[in-house]
Amino acid sequence: MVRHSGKDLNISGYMRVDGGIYDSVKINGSADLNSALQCNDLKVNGTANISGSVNSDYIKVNGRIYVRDSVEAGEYMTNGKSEIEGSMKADYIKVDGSLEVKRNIEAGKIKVNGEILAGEGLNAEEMDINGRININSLLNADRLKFELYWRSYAGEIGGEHIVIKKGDLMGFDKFLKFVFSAFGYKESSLNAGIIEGDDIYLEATQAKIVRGKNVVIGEGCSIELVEYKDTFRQQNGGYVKESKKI
Amino acid sequence: MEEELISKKELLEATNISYGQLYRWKRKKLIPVEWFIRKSAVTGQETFFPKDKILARIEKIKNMKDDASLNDLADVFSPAVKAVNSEKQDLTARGIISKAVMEIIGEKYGQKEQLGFREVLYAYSIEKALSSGDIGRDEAKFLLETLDENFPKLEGKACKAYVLRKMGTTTCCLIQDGLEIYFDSGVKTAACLNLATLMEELKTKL
Repeated sequence: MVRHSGKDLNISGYMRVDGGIYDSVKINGSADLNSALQCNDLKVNGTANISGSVNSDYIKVNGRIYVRDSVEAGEYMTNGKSEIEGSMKADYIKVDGSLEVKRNIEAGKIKVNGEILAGEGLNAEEMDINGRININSLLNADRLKFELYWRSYAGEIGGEHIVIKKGDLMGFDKFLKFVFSAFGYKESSLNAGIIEGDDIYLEATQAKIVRGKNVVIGEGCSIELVEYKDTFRQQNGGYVKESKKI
Repeated sequence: MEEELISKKELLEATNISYGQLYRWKRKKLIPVEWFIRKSAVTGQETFFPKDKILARIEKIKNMKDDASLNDLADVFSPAVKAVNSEKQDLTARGIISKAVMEIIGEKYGQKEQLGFREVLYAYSIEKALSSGDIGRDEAKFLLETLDENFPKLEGKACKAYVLRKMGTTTCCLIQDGLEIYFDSGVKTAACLNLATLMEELKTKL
């Protein structure tokens, strides 16, 4: 949606302002917005603290953003850290760094280099993750491609194509490698309750139940029960306590 | 009245759909979140659904999904009122609303040419009840009053309209789905209209 408020908001240095409706918002430095913000595009180089919801076609954050309420965006790109108290809805989310949403995330396509956290659930058509996730309830994605680094958690995972592989730290970005080792890097793994899908490939995953049409349980897995419709394969030492064809 | 439940596993088997499809339709809100019921079972937490409702819904989605996008389908199944006006002439010509019912509508809403979605829904509801012979013309007017006055209060919630008779007197009411109601033995349910279902039907016709 293109808004024609006719006014832009440009902040350099530190400013505390009211929110409002703008065409283009640029923050170079640090800004505290007292209320909700609606705009066509929002660019943050530095820090933004917004005490209300944010609704923008395009959001690009280089640095930190904190939003007291929910975010609705066309494209959301963050290089740094984003913390959203409410829910987040976007067509496209790109995270280089960290995105933490206290409630739900709903998106078309999500690409993460780093981490993505949701206090409730996550719905997406397509997800490509290099890093870690922490989704408290259901991660629902048509296509999930996940290269695991460090520890991840999802209450449940459901979708069509689910591919979870153990990340190779050797090929990983130097900066994030440093960050992880500074936190006492632990073996990469995903802990999930139930994983259900059509085609499932898992590595380094611990889950109670895995159900699907075609299931491959690979290296580093520990699964209590696999129920499969068509094919099931265990490889490279993946552990499955019980498997059933249904 | 306990609704019969079906497990997710049984459902997939019965309808021949895959996990991927079920999750996608859940994500696109083609299946209401409330229908996913978590219960403890031998293997831990399992998901169940109200059997009749989910089977009917999945059949509909399967039948419609080739002709409409999933987003279009989400509109059809949502409890939200469609923001569309219909021409009275068009409705009678296509057999959606009979002339008799259109007269009753005319008495209430005046001689305007167009009807808002809600008004068409009320007309459609009365049409169903009248044409099945369940209610008479006066009762239809009464039902229209009840809908007109009270349906907006239940906006967005699934509900049923009841026409009840006792000792020769008729009364109407709107009851939100999911509530259990018990009438005294002297009451006869002349008609019970599922407004959510009627709304869906209507949305596909308009």
